[in-house]
Amino acid sequence: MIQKLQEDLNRLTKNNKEQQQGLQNLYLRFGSIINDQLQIIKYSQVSQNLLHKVRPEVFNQILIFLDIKSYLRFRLISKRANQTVIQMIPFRINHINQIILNLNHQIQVYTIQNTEQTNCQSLIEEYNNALDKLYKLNKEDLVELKRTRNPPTILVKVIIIICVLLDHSFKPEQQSWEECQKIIGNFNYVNSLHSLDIGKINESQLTYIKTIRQISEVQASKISNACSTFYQFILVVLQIRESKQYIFKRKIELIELLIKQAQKHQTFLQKMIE
Amino acid sequence: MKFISQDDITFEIDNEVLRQCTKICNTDSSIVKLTSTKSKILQKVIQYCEMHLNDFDIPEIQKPIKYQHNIFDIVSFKDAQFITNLEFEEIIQIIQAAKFLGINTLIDLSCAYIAIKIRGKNSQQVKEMLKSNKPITDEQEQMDRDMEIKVKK
Repeated sequence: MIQKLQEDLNRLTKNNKEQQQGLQNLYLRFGSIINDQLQIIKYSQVSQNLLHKVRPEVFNQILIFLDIKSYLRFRLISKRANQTVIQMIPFRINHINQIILNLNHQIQVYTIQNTEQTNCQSLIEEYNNALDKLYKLNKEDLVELKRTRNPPTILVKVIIIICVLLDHSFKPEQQSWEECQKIIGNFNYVNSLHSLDIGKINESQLTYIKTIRQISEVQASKISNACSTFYQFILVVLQIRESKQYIFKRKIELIELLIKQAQKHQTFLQKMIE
Repeated sequence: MKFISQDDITFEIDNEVLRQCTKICNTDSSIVKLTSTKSKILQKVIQYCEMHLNDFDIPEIQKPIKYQHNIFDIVSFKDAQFITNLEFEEIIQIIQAAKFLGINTLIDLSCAYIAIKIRGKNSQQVKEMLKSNKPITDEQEQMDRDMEIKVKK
């Protein structure tokens, strides 16, 4: 009886061990399945991003079309994007170099075209003459102008153009003679005209200044000495601003600005890879 | 010349159409196998070449693109229409095929379009945009299948 019981006990112990082993194997297998699943999830997440499917050179070709700000912002997308950008910075620097070369070539072309144009010496002389006349305006002329109560339309028009020249925010349509008087009340405006930067005259100012052509020199000179002087000054400024030389000069200035920007970007990118 | 796609579909190409493919237009071989390009993509590439059959000089796209410009401002209407009808993932594959064949104007068009889409977006938006649901290469598809089989076992 005891022997039989002993045998049963041994068998049960053996079965228990086998069951435990089986359970352990099951756990191990379960663990490996979990690992495989995690790997699949990780893989599918990676493959879902186009950045991982495309070589950096291809993405660089896309990034070349972006301005420098968007180009650098692209680094924030992921580690891979950051690596792509950094890896491709030398190509971007080369591209900027190419742009600078092209811009320099453009400047050369404009300079040649500019020298081919007729000399603007006569315009400069006219401008200097107009400035001289402005200097020669005496206080009485200016006081007379300031105190005019019922000015002729031509005088109002000329003075409004002067105000537009002095202040780009001056809205001619909304202004009256009283508003103009406030500006010409301070005689410093004549000094401001002397140091007027023609380059800063913007397109909307230019459009309004062009209305001076509706007035003839005779009409202006009939009103007063000051009106005639201002009229001549405005006309010369307009001629300079519209001259081909000036347009070329502006174009060159803009290109030089672009070159400066490109050089700044180039230095910045070079510092990034150093 | 014949183009054979990854899925073994043959496309017969006229010499006139081939003019756009700078890398292969002067080769002697009559068959070009594009082992990494699917027929759907190859068809689009050929469609682009056919579209420009009579265009001898396609203007270059300015780099970088000005912020206020969209794709219709910088390329011809037919090009803009062609590219806007494609999905992002298709465009990426088209770039790769065009690179292989040397169709520079198509590369520029595709890259410019993607650049316009990326421009001004924050990193999260770009991430969303670059998401893709289909694996591109056979190698990746095979890796996917292997993983599935391994799990099923």
